[in-house]
Amino acid sequence: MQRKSVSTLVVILTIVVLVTSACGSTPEPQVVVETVMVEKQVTTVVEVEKEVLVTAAPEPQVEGDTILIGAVGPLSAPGAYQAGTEMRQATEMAVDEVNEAGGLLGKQVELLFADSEGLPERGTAVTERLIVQNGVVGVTGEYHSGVGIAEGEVVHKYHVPTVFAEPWADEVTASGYPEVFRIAPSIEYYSSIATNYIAAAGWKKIIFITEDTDYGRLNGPVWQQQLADLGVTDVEVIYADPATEDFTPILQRIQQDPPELLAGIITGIGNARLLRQACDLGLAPTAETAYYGSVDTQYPEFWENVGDCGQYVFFTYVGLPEALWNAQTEAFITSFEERYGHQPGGSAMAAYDAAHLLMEGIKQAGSADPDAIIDALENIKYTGAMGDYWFEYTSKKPISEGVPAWMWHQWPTPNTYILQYTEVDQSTGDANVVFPTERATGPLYTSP
Amino acid sequence: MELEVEHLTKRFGGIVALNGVSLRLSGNERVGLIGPNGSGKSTLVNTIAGIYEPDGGKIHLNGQDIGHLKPNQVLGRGLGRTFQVPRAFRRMTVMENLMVPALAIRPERGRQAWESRAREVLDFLTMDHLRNDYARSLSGGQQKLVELGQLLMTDPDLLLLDEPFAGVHPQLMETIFDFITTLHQQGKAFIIISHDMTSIFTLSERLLVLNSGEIIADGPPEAVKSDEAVIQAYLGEEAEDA
Amino acid sequence: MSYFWSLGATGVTMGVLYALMALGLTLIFSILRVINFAHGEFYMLGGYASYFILNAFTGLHPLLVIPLAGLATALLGLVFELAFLRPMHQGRIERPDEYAVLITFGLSFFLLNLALALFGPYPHRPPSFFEGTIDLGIVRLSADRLTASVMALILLGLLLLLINRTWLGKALRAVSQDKQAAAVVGINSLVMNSAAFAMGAGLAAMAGALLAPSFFVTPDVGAVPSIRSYVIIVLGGMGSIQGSILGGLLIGLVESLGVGYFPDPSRALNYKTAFGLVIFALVLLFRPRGLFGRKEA
Repeated sequence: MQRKSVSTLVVILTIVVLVTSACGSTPEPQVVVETVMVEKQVTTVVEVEKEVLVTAAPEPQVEGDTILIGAVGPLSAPGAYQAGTEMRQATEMAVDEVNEAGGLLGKQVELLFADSEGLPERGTAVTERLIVQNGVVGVTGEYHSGVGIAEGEVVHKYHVPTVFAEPWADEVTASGYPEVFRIAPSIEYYSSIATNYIAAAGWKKIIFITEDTDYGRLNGPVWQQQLADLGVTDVEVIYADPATEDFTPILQRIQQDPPELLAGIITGIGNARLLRQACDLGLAPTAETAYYGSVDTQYPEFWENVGDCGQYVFFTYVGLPEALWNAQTEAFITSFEERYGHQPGGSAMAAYDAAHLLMEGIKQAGSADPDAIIDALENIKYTGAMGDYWFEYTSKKPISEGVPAWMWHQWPTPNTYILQYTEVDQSTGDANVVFPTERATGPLYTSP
Repeated sequence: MELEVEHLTKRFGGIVALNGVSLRLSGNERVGLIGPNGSGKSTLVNTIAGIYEPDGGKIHLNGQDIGHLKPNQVLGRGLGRTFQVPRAFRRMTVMENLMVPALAIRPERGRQAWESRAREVLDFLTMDHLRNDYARSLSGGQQKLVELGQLLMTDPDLLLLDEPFAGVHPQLMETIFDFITTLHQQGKAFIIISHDMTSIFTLSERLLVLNSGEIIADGPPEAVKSDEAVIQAYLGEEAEDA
Repeated sequence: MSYFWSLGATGVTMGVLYALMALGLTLIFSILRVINFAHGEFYMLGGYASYFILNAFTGLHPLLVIPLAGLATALLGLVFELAFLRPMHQGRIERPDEYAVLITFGLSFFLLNLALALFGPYPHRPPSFFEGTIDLGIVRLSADRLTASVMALILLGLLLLLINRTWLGKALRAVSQDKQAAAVVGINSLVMNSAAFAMGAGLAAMAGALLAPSFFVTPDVGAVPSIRSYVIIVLGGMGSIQGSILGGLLIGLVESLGVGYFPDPSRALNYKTAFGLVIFALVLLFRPRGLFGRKEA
């Protein structure tokens, strides 16, 4: 009996190890399965083509007293729930503001926010449910690239106007779908701000450690290509599981021949971990090696987790830095803080503006007809918290030779800046805006 | 010391291992427990010692009901036992083996006091030279002595010994004999299970014969030896073996 | 060559911490004969305990909080053991083997989701033990990591002292070798069960608290360490203390050297856990009982 129970235990253990390492090895709220999903995309497109011929779009819900708006975003792991939560808060706030001003088309707006969990298959499922079961008039939100791509397929299949707030993958708008609009930067655009900064600052030897997901895998080659075009060729990219606990061995490896710039582009908990561990090893940020952090560097929790190590770190900030706020931005930030008790990050601002844009489009269309809404959005001129919105490439001005495909239904000037922390515990408001230099509030790079 | 067992019953599934066994022991009696294979001797000892929970009947030690106590509690009441296959702690030294029960039962006496007592016990068992050896390196007989040593440390009033002589070197057998007689003189009572008829007849003042879970004889060795039922029980077994 | 020593140092420092946590699991298994599937959650709770205690009492030095975090979690473990595992050992549960698996799994899910609900998903970090880098010439280590490792070594030493020199340790060893024989010589195995479970939980918690400044705490921070612990205890031999220690060190070294020397850096990092599992599989192939496994379970 003893022997039997020991071997049973070993069998159970092995199964546990295999099963849990398959699904549990990335317990962090991160985009995970993306690379696999990209392959899946291709097959889904084929199926969708067939189905479009057969399925009629369901009736958008405008009966009764309410008009339904759908929103999607990550509210739980493995999605980036930090960003997703503030996006939900901002979207709710936007909807409440519209309702207080009298609603849309004479009715009150009801928001349905669905958790896409950072997984493309979840995003697909919940978006479909919002459209088919709930009959939403439009969709807004989303944070993760891979998920946004998947959701784009669904809204195209059902012909539902959608304004995406945060997914950056070029493919989101490069699809050319009439239903899809985006206010976030594309990866190419976003990366170009960073790569141009790096070239301007004069670093010649760079190592990127980025996440092994759609986000990372799409970014990596883009950085290398853009930097090469700018004359910086010694660029290495290492892909890591964003849930990695211990980067030390790889950092020790890098320490053998330290670069001039170490870029830790991992979202979620990996951002702080990587910095902390690089700092504890005396690798970066130092006078010899600068450190470029990911977008999560903007959150106040960053300081809690990295302590003094965060000083001199620079990062890309998508949103409007405090120095460049307009009246709308001030109003948004004040209301958000009052309502939720903490400062909104860039994702919140994006979600807020995207939601307002969608609702403004419905208002200007004067109906729930998708084509009318799409037409209204194509022609829209709207001032939001992050600036003046408009879309350059539309059905009236299609993508032409030399114009990247992702410019379709893309806000041409998404706010993307490089910020650098110069003091410990600094807020993004006090950080130096260092690039683009025309808008800079401090020197190009402050070294430790 | 007073042990009273009344109508003790123990079942394992459909098998009735003990069927209403009653017996009484007092003072410093030396009782031998014999019977054919499968008669229930070990079950009886295990049930009295608290390893098995009785299905019926009562067990009283010195007036207290011990029927539902666990083995460590039974030991605390003054009843100790050894096993047929010695179960000393193989990955501990002889000294550690003796210290474990001592400090379990009466920790307040302190380590020092118990250590010197342990040395005395080991001396008595002629095992002092092995005190730092691991139990697993000892012979079976020596391990039995370790078990007896453990018992001595806890100073029970009644000792249940399951096959103390099985597989033991003749020289060690003498030590065990001495052990039993000395303790008897000190006022301890014994129930000894054994198949070694010579030893059992020498050692016991009284014999209990168990067959198929029931006591079929209880009396002085000479009387039991010539008891019809007993002979039948053993003959019956021999006839089956033949 | 200093690269090798750096990696070795990282491997050993992590290995000692792995060993500490695995030892807790081994202790629980060898006394209760139960695999504690919530071991990772005790690790997680240790991290949170140290974070909250240091948040509330900012004057305390972080090292002093380690035993406190261990104690708090040990108490939690004790309560769980008394409520859910003791009935099993008293014979009041119908199918004890399956029950044991399910109940500790259940505890794991419960604690993870409770932590998520109470503490939120955002990572937290208790303050460093000591800031900065320790530069020993050929080897450079984070001060936090080195401190954690030295503390773990001390704790391991104390534990071994307890196991070998105190009566409690002897009683635990007795119960792990032969539960019935232990009962017969006066040891209350139910009390030993509770003690072992509490100690095991406390050890995992202290490992978690020691690593919190390096790895931070989130509700699911215990998932990977717990799987690693299962691997280590099987590798070392179920129920063997030396096995857990050696297994921990081995896995720590293999992971570090593997990541350091595997040609492709991207793959190297992603294969980190796999290196340990390969060694695990190899050892079991030639020694199915594990490094120090015993024949009698």
